[in-house]
Amino acid sequence: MKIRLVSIFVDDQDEALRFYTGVLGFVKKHDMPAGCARWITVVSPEGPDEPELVLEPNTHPAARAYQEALMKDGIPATAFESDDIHAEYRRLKERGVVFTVEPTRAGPVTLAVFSDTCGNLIQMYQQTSAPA
Amino acid sequence: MLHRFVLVRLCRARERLRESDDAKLSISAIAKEAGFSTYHFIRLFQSVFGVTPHQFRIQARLERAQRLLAAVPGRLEYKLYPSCFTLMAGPAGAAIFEKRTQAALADSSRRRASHRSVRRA
Repeated sequence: MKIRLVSIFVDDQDEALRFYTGVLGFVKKHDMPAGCARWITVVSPEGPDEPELVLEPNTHPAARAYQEALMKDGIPATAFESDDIHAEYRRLKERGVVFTVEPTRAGPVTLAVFSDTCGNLIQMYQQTSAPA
Repeated sequence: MLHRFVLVRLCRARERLRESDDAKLSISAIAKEAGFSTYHFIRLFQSVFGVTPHQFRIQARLERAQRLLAAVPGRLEYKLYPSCFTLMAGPAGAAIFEKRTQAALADSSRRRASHRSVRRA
């Protein structure tokens, strides 16, 4: 078995596609109708063969409750790796992204947390020492 | 940077927006309650949640109405509801979901047509 899909709940699929491609810089891989929503995935331009991120609609009440509880407690819904977190931080800041944690050293990584404007906090990290 | 405490205040204000009616509680009253000036609240809310407090309130109202519709058994919306989880779909599954939706739509319009013909008879 392989891990090919990871998913994140979003409160507006159009807006999410705009943010994840236009602001974060991921690339749309799939966008097809799926019932009352769409099956949308994005991939990193740095590794198009890596897992696809599914932008999953949060229409189910449990999905929304989960998202809101995480955000209120400041917990990121997922994390993306960066090779240069400080440059990425500056780039995103310039695009109006709001950070709840600025780049901070935390053991073997430097991490930062921002809002994806779709109901989630996202962590971005850079490995600053060799992984164990 | 958005301080953790400010984020919590924003999240609470979002809950207030969802629960309250604009006739009873204005955006500026909610901003004040959360300890922001109205302008700052609107700007901050939009940059964190992607929509203005006003847009959020309209969306929340529409969703409430949709939930009420979905709660009526046998309604089309009720049938469509489970398919809103698309993760299990995948590219092949998405096509199946879409087919099922189209079938539900066709079924519903057939039923509506037959109701009409019954009424006419």
